[in-house]
Amino acid sequence: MPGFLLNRALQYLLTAAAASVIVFALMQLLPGSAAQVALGTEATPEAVRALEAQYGLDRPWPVRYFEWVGGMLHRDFGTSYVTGAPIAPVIADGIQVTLIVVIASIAVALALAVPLGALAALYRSRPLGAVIGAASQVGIAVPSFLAGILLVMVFALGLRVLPASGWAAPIEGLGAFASHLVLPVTALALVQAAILTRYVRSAVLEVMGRDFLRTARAAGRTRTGALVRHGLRSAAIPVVTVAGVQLAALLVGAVVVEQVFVLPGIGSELVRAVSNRDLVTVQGIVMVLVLAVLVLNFIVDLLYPVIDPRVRRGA
Amino acid sequence: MSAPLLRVASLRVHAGPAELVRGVSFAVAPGERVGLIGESGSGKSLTAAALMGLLPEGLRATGDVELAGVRGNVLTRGERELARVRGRAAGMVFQEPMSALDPLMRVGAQIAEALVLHGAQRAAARARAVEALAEVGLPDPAAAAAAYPHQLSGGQRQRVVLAIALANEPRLLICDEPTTALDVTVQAQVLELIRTAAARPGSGLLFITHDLAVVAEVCTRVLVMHAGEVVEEGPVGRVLTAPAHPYTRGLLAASDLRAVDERGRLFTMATAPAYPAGGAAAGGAEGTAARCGGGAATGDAGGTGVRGGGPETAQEAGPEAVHEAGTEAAPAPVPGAVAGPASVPSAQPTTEQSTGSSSVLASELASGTVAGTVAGTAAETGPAAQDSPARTSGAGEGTVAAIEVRGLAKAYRRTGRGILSRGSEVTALAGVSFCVAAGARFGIVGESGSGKSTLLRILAGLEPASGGTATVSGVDVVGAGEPALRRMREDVQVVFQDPFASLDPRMRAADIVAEPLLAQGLSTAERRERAARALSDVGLSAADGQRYPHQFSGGQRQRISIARALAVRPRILLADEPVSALDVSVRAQVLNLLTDLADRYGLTLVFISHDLGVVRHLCRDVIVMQGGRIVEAGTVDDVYERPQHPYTAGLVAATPDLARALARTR
Repeated sequence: MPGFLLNRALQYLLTAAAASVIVFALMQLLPGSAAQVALGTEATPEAVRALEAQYGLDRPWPVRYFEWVGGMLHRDFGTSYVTGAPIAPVIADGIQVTLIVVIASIAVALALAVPLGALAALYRSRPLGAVIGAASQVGIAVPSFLAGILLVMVFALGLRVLPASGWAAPIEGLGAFASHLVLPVTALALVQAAILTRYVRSAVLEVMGRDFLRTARAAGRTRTGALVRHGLRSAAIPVVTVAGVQLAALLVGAVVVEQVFVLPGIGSELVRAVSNRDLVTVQGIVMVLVLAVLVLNFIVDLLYPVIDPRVRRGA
Repeated sequence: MSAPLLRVASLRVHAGPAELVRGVSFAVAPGERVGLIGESGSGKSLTAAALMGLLPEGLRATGDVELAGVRGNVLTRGERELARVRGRAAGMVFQEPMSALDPLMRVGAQIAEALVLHGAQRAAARARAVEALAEVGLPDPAAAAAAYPHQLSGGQRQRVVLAIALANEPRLLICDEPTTALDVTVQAQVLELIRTAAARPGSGLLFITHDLAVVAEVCTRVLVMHAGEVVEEGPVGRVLTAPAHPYTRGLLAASDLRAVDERGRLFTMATAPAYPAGGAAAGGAEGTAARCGGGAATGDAGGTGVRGGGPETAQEAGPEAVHEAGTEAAPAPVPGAVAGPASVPSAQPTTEQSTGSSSVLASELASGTVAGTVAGTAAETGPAAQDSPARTSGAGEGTVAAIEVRGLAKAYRRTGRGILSRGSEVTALAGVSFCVAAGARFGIVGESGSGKSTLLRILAGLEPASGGTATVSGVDVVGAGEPALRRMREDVQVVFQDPFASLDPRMRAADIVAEPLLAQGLSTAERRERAARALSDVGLSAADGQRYPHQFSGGQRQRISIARALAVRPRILLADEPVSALDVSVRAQVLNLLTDLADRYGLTLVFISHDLGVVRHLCRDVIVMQGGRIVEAGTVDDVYERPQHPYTAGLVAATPDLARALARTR
């Protein structure tokens, strides 16, 4: 088990290193240097060169790459050429909000998808199964920003029970925190729940034909009892895989939903940095998003041996 | 007589309008061990499942089932009520031990669960689970309780399933093909365990199987099912020696691998009327063929430049090597068979070693001149020889043996999980040497994990070896390049075990059969003509060629597999358990077909099986493999009658034998 962990961790570190090279290279490929962008189109070449020298942009790219990576390892993401402020605190604030939204969303999505998917499988030839199937079809078709807008119209503007936008940190009071969280999380989670419901349904259907459920029934379980006790855990294996992939989609989806609900998440920062042509900040945020996806997937990987003894090393 | 444990009256199982079980009635009394036999589709498994409300979804049972300890008709009970009965009134064991246990749960917990479901305290159940594992004979019960199913072998898993079934001490034990997927030695142990369980006072057994020998070993009374009905019922000794119903007689005849008709072929359902009643019990009246490998080695005139004989290599053959001088090639070419219509050759000279005169024939052949002539004939008339004159390279070299294997080794590297860990090595084959003469029928027997299938895949060029040489049809497949392998595959074809998985479901039978001909660059018309020939050779019509695999039965699919292999007119046919997925009646037909075709085309047949009986019937020479090594080699009669290696002796003793079992019941 420790060997498995070490191997996995090492694989992710290598992936992160490779990703950092790609992110850095992409930013270099953009036309115009950061100094050019900061000074605007009117700037003289001399002024640009002077600023490049000041920021150290005239040095060869490997030097700048390692300086960037080395800085990140010390939680220094550099300074924005546009605002002149350090980038790290901006990212740190943003990623906290985004991760809270994303993790809450996947939790809600799974909490909806697992029972709904299992019911859809159990009642597949009865009306309930058809209703769940149709609902998940609709859910997949509705994009999360549209769901967000609809939710705002109903619950914020219509019923006036929840705030339409904004964010409250947990220290500002859990009630406020939760009430600001409900609508964006629902908007994100509904789509994910719809997708996951379909996967849960097919995973449960697949498991329902397994011999060990018959063994459990022969020993005295009811059909449903055998499925709940023995089937769901087996069905969880493919569902976890899909949920892991969906986490990345959720991080990206959060960028859009943060715009709709005016959340101070990393997505909002990314949009702002892009529109300001703040390349250093974009580079830092993209890198952090990549790292977030990797970390979340690492956690998902750790779940496999917890669920399935067959993948435990040396077991 | 006390009240029966189980009484079934006019049980019917419906699938929509269709009736799969059509009014089955029987009873199991305390102390009785009742066998339910029949072929696939006979409804025997559905009958068992219906008794406990475990029918697959969409099926519905009607009738009357009374079970000791349950009030009223079991079939009218709801799922919740039935669940309370299952495991306590009757325990059940199913066929597939590999998938019958929850892979994510410790074995002990699964047994404990069965106890808790029927009211035991959790802690007591856990302790009782360990005892139960000891009772089913697992060596270290405490360790086994903490193990996950994947850490146990198939036999161990079936013991665990049995422990679950017996956990609540049900009086009735229902076993559905409990040992079909197990190796024979393991099967013998599990059967013993089931017999012991059934011998508990006041208890009874309902045992479902397709294997007559197993039913004779386990049961006292037997019911024969066919097409959803019980066609015959009675004491095992009577039904299996003096069957009253033609179907029973057919089953009995088809499953007897020691009895052959006047053509040396196995009895089938169709030829069963000629089968002598009680033939199995009489058993063992076979002529023993003389070993002729040594004799052939002296006749050096025979094989020069001819592919049929095998004298040269015999001298080099190591102690493990089995060598044969092409005696089986002798009757192969029926004149005109190559060009003529695909009729099954009827009055053939003695092709089987089991016929009385074969020892004479064999000894005649052993003298070099006869062998040489015969081999020459085979080479001239064999279709493959005609088609590929270019491959008769290096006359006088060691190309006379169809297959020559020297010190073959195969090690798998188990892939490491991560980027840091190196995989460990697993030895699949070690120092395997043998020799198969052209035209011979050569058996390879062994249990799972013995390396027999790996060996076949290497011979077929489907998998690389890690050491040694394996010359198949003149090509050393170890280290041969793709062009050489491609050339070899025109000579060597494979028939695989699973007739359901080895055919592309989206291709028509004729296209499946014609596909290997593409590699030979034949024209469309030629391909079509050859495919049609191959299909008719295996007894399928041209119309069959236009159908898809799912429209065929298992036996027919295996015929398509054989036709596909024969279409390229190979000289060597490698068969990996080709009949082990088939019902006995179909098995007899397919084995007869293989014999006919091997005779007609002078095929060299390498036949892999876990079933000693099948190899004994079909082959003359056999090697016994265990753990990647050959532990014994010789003629089938020597090896089976006088096994030298304890492993072989154990294998022979463990193989269920109808005659032996019946002798015991008398």
